[in-house]
Amino acid sequence: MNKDIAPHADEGIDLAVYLCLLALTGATLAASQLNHGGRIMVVSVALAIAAMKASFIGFYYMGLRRERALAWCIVGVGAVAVLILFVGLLPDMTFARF
Amino acid sequence: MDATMTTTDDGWSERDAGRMGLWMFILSEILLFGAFLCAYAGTRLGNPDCALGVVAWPEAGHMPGLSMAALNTVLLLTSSFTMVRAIGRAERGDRAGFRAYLLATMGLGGAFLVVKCCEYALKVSYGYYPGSELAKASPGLSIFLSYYYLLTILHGLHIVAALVWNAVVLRAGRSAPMETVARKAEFAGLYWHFVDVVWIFLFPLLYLI
Repeated sequence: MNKDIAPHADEGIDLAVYLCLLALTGATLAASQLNHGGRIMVVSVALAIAAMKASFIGFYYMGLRRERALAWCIVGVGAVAVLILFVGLLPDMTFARF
Repeated sequence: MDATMTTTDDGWSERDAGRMGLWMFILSEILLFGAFLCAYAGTRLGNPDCALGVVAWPEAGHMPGLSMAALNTVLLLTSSFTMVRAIGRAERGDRAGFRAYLLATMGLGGAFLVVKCCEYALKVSYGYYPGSELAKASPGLSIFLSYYYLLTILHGLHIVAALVWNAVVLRAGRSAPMETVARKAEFAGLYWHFVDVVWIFLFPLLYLI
């Protein structure tokens, strides 16, 4: 086998990541029931957990940890573009009256 | 595809180039879903009738729907795990193991779609669809339902596309050299994981807040 394609060698890590993802899903459900800090806190916690889960999948399952810098740049461009879209909407969200 | 790898002078292999092409494709998907999710968040943050931070679903039928969505989350996470195992088996030249894990991945993806259809049926039975009398009486709910169906159907179509891709790789796995199969499985896996990541964000945004 060509050693150029051996990126998924550690099955122990893959299993650990899977169990972490399941635990984080449980944490998301639990966080949605929280009453402390208001609902905005719940939104923030739920999205932070989602970002953590996405990072696990990207880093370990999609192989970003072994990827060339260009792949990180591509993903970074996507993240920044979505952030710009969201920030661009903030004035409208702040001042809009439906 | 030929099993032989070629490498350029600056160290780029065919696999590297293929992966970069796929990352570029994933970038376009990030922008597609990102635009819709930003519009969704903007609408809910700016609209007191369905404000983000307040569970948008009416109480009736919410728990069964949430249970199905949570089950779907587990199904997709498990399918990502079996996909990684399938690629690992392909890289080791284990054809039978590769096919078994890829079939499991496809089965879990199919189960996701079945549960999703059941959930749609549940929602429709409660009148939770755009244009229903309930939605007409509540503009905020109507806006939310439009986004809910748009985003989940768009995601479902991506699952279907990923299943077709996996089926093509499974077919190649019957006789093609395992090195080639491993590369194809790796590319299909990249897309499969991305579809999983999209659901990870849709789940809390559409069901929990």
